[in-house]
Amino acid sequence: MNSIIIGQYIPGKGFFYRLDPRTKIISVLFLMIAVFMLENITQLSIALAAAIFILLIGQISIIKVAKGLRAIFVLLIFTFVFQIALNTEGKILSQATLHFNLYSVLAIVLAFVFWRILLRLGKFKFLLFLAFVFGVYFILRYVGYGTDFYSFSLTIYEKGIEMSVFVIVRILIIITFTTVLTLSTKPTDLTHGIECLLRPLKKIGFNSEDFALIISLSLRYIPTIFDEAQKIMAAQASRGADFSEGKLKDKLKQIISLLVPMFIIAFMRSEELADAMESRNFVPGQSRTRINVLKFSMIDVYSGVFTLLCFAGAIVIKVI
Amino acid sequence: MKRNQIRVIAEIATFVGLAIVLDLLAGLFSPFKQGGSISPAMLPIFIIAFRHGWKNGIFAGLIFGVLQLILVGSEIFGWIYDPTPFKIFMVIAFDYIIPFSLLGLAGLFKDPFNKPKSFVLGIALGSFLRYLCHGLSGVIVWGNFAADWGIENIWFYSYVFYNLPYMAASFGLCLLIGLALYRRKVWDFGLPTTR
Repeated sequence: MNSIIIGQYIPGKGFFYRLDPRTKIISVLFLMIAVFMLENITQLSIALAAAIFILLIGQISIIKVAKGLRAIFVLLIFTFVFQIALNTEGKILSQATLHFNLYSVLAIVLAFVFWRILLRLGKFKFLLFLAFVFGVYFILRYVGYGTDFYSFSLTIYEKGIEMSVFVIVRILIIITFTTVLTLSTKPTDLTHGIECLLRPLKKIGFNSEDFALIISLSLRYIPTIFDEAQKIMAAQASRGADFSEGKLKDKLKQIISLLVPMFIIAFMRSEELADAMESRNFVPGQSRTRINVLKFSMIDVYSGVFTLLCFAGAIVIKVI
Repeated sequence: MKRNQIRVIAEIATFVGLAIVLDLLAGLFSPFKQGGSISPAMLPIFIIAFRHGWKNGIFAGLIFGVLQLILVGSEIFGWIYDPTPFKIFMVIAFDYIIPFSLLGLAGLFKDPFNKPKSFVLGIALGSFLRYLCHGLSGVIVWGNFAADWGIENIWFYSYVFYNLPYMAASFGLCLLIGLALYRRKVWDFGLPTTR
């Protein structure tokens, strides 16, 4: 709980750290649209190669990107399984009857217990999980003794495999792009970039400067408020509060007793913040100067050209 | 006048920060890891709307939506089945920007800090509009997941099966905590409102 990460920025000195945030945001948008225009595996693998090329240029390790995937890993597995099980187009690749009977269910329970025990070792979690999934598959397929109380015919079609690989590779590419953006750009720079890009909206009455200012202030305040929340929780735990157990009614009482002081603290903080801003002569609506002014350089031109080439390539493929 | 504007900016910033933290905390304690979760994160936006009017409320909601998109949302695009730029646009607009902005309309009701009825109605209106938006994006973008649950009617899947339970629970939680704050008069220690 102490290691909650807001945003994913990691300090570093690669190619992408020197790139202007505006270029990065626009490039990522265009590259994502380009990826979404691709229609089959071959085209996607070229895009995957391009994504890996981008990682190599930026000297961003693939492991860091893979860590970003961890959050959606379960959903990835679900998509994969659903695509395989439900898609019924193309040639039949394999057909097998899965038996649910006393022995196979017992074997699955054993395999599950075995898997949980091995997990305690703490290493190769992903491989163990894969081994467990395949183990269940083989048990269901080959343990056919006794009477089945349920049997299920699993047919895997060519199109199912193709679609599941397609969907997953596309997710991988998209996440690579967005991770490169968020890894190499400070949230404040990101906000500054968004502010600059939204500036034309001023004509329809949208105040992009206030907008960016509030976003960067919030980003600054999230860790502070989170610390306060932890302090309150620790204080209440030391008086015997338990946030994870108890009946629903008790839990609600706990939540209320946590949130009331948090709202009061937020009011006090906002008052202090307003005082601090006023004493530094902040005037709403006036133009402000910045310590770091965004400037385009040659590398922005290179990456812009690269993006445009990718985008044009995707359009050409789509049209042909 | 200037003083009040600064105060509004500072308050929106801290309360949006509070909303994000509440969402994170709810995520830590809740069983779901993806998708909508049960959290009281809408409440700070409602309070901004009640204290400073619906325009500032919408502004705060907009910023909350954008921040969520920046901090947690970027992975969501990978989940769109058969994504087109139109669908991506729909997700950005109808899952993040518009629903959270609409929360600010809670401020349309008069004098919420003295009339409990306005307070409850405001929270109900904001939550209901957010629910409508999420449901719409469910129908347009996420409909293919209905088959995974064995549900044929996409409208039923989006509006009842997926979006109703957590939205109803979040609404209940907001109302409950809101009324607890209401009874304790948390906002009543001398801070002026600018409605």
